[in-house]
Amino acid sequence: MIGLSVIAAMLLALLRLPEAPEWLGWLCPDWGVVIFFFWTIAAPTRTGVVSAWLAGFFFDVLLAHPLGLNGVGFAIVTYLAARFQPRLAMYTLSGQAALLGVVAAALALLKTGLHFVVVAETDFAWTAPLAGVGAMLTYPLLRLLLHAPATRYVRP
Amino acid sequence: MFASATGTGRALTAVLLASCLAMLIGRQSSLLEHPRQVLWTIAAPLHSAAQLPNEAAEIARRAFAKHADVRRENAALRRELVELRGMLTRHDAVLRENARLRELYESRARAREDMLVAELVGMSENPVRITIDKGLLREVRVGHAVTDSQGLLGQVVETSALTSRVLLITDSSHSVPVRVLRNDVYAIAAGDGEDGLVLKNIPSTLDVRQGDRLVTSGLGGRFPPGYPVGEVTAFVQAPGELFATATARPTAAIDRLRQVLVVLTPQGEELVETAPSDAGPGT
Repeated sequence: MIGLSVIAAMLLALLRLPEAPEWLGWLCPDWGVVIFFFWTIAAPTRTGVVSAWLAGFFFDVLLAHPLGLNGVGFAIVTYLAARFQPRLAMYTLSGQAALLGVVAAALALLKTGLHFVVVAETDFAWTAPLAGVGAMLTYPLLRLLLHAPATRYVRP
Repeated sequence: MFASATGTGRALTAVLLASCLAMLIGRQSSLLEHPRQVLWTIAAPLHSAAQLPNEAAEIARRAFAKHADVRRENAALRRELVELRGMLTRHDAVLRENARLRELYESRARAREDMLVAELVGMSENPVRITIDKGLLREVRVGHAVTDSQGLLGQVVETSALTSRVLLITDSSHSVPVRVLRNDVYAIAAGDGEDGLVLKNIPSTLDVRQGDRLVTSGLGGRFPPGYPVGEVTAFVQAPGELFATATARPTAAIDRLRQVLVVLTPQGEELVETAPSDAGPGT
């Protein structure tokens, strides 16, 4: 299930809506970050920093990013969620979403900064932190969708 | 999976360092190109899958199109087909004549290039690259020129077995050697980073005008000669300057791509025949 949802995240990352307005693209969250945040809270024993990092490579090749770039954000978010998992699991949905929003915004900035440094012809995307807002808004929906499959891991 | 918080912390440090190392290696050398190719080949089907919503919308649009509209479109396409076939017969005759004349001049005949139709399956932003659904398995290689039905589009910069990524001629890191069709003046057309081309630092005495058509010159050997590239939109010269700048609009319809053609130039084949040595700036 985790694997499937990571593949779904890759598809969402690849999705292009030619007719959508530009600001919708700015709000588009880093789906991998949202997915790993959710799964690490819901099933902490099933995810790991290393596996999240490895999944990042697939995002790299699909999105034409330098190898290793996406893994940075995925590893950090997985680490944070794992480190504070007992506390985070007690948070309300809106509390989790708000925290994810802040983390995702910071990671988006870090990602565009690294990308800018590593690849010469990229622009520094100042709109990057808006992805945090997108993550905050989509997280409740994601939790709603994945809540049922996730409970399977909690009560074995 | 986690023995302790410090274990996770150590894992995080390790992967972050590994990421930085991978990015540095990827930037400096081609060592990671093969692993990249393998990973991308595994993940490539996702590109096609991500196209499904757009394709479904297209199918729905077609399903609801009026029968009369479809018939009209069909008739128009038939007419175009007949016209193109007619042009093609003439084209064949001209090609044969050209080969004969080249023989007379004892210059090498141009290698005939094979074309491969590929479908656009994705686009990555910053920097902009388009992804097409043909790759190494169909003999697409890095450096192959990509065109649409009207003109040059770009070149292949990355391949997997099933997909390839194309750098567009409008990208600011891209340059293509061109020739003005009207008077065989040579220049370099660089991308302006948006949707146009610039001919930078051309001598102000050079005979380039608005409306001039630019085609690939074949110099440098990367692009096969004779493909339309763009049309000059303006020739800008600051008074007193030795060099001028011209801007051009690409002939290819870059903003509404659906299908593209990959020009499969045989590996190692010399594309360039002797370029005229007096082809420098001049009027």
